[in-house]
Amino acid sequence: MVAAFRRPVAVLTLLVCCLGGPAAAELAAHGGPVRAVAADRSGRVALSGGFDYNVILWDLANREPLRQFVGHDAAVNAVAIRPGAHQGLSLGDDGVLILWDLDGGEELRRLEAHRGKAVALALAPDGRRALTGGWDRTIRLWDLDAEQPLRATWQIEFNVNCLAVSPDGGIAAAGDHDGGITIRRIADGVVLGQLLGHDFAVNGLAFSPDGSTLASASIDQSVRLWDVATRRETGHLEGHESPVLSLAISADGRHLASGDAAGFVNFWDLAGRRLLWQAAAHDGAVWGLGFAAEGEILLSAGSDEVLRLWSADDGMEIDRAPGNGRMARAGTGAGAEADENRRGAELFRKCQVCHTVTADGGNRAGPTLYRVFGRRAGSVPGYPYSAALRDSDIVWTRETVAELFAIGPENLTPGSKMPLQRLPSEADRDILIDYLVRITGAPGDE
Amino acid sequence: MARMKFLCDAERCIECNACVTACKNEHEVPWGVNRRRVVTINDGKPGERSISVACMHCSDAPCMAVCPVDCFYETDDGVVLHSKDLCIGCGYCFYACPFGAPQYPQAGNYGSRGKMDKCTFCAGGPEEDNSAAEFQKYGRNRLAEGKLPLCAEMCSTKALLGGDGDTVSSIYRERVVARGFGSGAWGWGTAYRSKAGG
Ligand code: HEC
Repeated sequence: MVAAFRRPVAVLTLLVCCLGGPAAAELAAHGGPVRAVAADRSGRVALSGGFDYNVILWDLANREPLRQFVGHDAAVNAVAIRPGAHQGLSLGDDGVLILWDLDGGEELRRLEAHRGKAVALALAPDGRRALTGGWDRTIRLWDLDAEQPLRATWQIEFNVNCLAVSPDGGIAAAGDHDGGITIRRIADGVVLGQLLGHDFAVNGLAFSPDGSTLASASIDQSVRLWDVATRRETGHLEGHESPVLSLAISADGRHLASGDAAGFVNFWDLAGRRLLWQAAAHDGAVWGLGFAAEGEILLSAGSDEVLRLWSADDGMEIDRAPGNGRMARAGTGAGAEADENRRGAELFRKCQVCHTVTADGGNRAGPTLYRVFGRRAGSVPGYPYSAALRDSDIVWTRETVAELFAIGPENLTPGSKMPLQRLPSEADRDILIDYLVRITGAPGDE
Repeated sequence: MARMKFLCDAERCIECNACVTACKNEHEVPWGVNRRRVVTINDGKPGERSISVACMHCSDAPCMAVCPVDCFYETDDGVVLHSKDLCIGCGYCFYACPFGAPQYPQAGNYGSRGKMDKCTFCAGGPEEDNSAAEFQKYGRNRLAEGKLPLCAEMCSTKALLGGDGDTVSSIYRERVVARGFGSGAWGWGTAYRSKAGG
């Protein structure tokens, strides 16, 4: 692999970082890293999924959230929109595939798709068949409209990271943890071939609209192009200096976009294999990419909790007010007191991606911890608790919070959707609780 | 204070897998987890070679930057470790790691995601040095015993070197001078933003 000593490519469009001021064009409503985005072809709406367990439908014209879908018990890793944009799909770390009514907001179907982490989702062009893949080393084929939706289960030697279906609906491509890509006939599951060339895991796959080319993105920092018929590698796009996480090809087949772990988006002329522009798109990883409006607009989803829109023409961020730059969202209101209790603040960093300490819960994965001491478990209005917390008689005190992290949520509140975490050191627990007591506000405080 | 690094000399690796076996035995790692692997780079093409890969304990480690729950830390020796008590198994570090180092045991029950496991440079974890809890979660802490990683010690051709970065780099530099060629130590640019020997 040549990755180690590659020279940096010219940065054509490097946006200024950290100048302050919120950027107008950002789609901001997720309370955590945004892991996936799917745009409707018309460019009217987009669907996103995130670490905050949430799925959000966006109005792209007005750049505002239309609706939020709450149903996963863990982070969401993949989303898709069915043709016509009346239904959407999401897949998460809870192993569940949910079919949503995008117009009404209801959960139409809930399928226990994988054991544990499910990360890959691809919808066939008919909009009826879907493929899902997970770290349980299986791929599953679903007929979303059938009474018995599961059509097939295919075992894979390695964890499955990404999936794509060919434009004629006949072929499935799967990228795995070992750097392999398996090409399979969907009708009978027969393996047609393996595309070997990536040195490390494959994270993203996309077919060209004519079905002749498959593009793949990998941890080995490269994007490769493959001739689907001969299974030969026909292109090697270099220009990322960190693992490539996301990939999309425009509906007209002219452009390919790839996003990396360092926050860059590279935009390529697919036929000419030429880098057209590069943008410092997010503060942190670019987890998802999708084209909208017939390829004129590129959407990116990032670790910095927002989605951004880019003009395919020149890589300029759409509607960004002049002078506005990247700004990490604060989100928790805990920053000001960081110095008073450095260790406490450090320990709270283990919690703050999922919890705010202000009256506003910030749409994070967990409920706000504002005035948590003295509060009954499961009692923040409007937060979608699990039954385990909703029906619990625990009252949160120094002692019960300490116990929560001494023995872990899976033991104190079995069935909780808070992940398995513990703080084994009693000293650390004390420091964290002192800190929480100070920053969460006492009951009755104004 | 020494800054620990790994170096794999691709000209010398003979794919014997002794490093992989030594690691598994020393740490009794969970089923399905390979903290160290021998991988073929440029498979079937000019420049094909084998290298032994594990966590490189990078400077400015990308896993640390991407972890949403801040479960990684760096020791005084520059070794990158993590707490399995705090890890929630989200997998983000796997995607961010240029060496594919983070590993996940196969999931148990529905919804229970395995905690990430990776090479510790034989330096254990946040538990008390050489305690039973440390061994059970992270494997043996050889560094605390004044030893270096076993994988490098067991490498018969000395392709894999592990120890103080300056020492490792100068050994490699002498080799490159002696044999008159060297393609640069694989992965050093990515992991440490520097070349060794080269
Ligand atoms: C990955 C996300 C995540 C992290 C990290 C996390 N939590 Fe939570 N937490 C949740 C979720 C989700 C719930 C709600 C659980 C449910 O409904 O079953 C929750 C619930 C709680 C509750 C109960 C609140 C109530 O209203 O009943 C407390 C207390 C709590 N968390 C404290 C913490 C602390 C302290 C930390 C850090 C040491 C932490 N959490 C880390 C996701 C998280």
